[in-house]
Amino acid sequence: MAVSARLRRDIHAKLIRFCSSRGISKTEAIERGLELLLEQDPSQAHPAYLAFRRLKLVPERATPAGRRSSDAMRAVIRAKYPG
Amino acid sequence: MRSILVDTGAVIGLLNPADRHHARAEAFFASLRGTDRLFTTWPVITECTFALERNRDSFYDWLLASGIVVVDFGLDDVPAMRLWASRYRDRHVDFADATLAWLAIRQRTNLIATTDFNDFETYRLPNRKAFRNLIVR
Repeated sequence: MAVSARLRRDIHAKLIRFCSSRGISKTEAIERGLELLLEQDPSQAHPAYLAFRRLKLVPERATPAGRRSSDAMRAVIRAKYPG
Repeated sequence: MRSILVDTGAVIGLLNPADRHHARAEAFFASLRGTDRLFTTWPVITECTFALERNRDSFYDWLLASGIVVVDFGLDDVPAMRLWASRYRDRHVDFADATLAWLAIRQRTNLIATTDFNDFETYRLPNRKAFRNLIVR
């Protein structure tokens, strides 16, 4: 797909030098640059990460080192149904 | 597009700022691509609600917005989970872990996000393939 863009003279000069030194075309350099730019776009992040960034979290109560979630669950259930 | 299983520790690590795995869990979720698909099971969700007492509302907000798919299973699936878990009697396999092994086969993936490093480094899928943990130890 063809896209036309007007570049500043200094940017264009840098692009020419970059392509010449790397042996790549201007199209390839511009594509790579756009890919890098788009990767940094927060809207490209996964919904699970974006959802996390919106939360206000507080530290949970400390549990002994090495204790697993299932251990915590077991303790709660045993306390609730002591038998 | 990658299919990635999510274990309890990955979620707790992400949503509990005091968790010792918080930074590595956050790094994992930050590294996800928009096209990655996350899967888990209800026993994992249950464990999360027990462990995230102070952040339970945040957990529900996260769960509903995360795009994670919670895959249901039936009694017909339990014998396969039981058989798989029986290979590791010495490790006292949690039911949640057994459901994730079942889910790995169903989703045809060995990618997982877990902080249960020792267990999931030991476990093998029924096809003998190892899990590949995307959370860096």
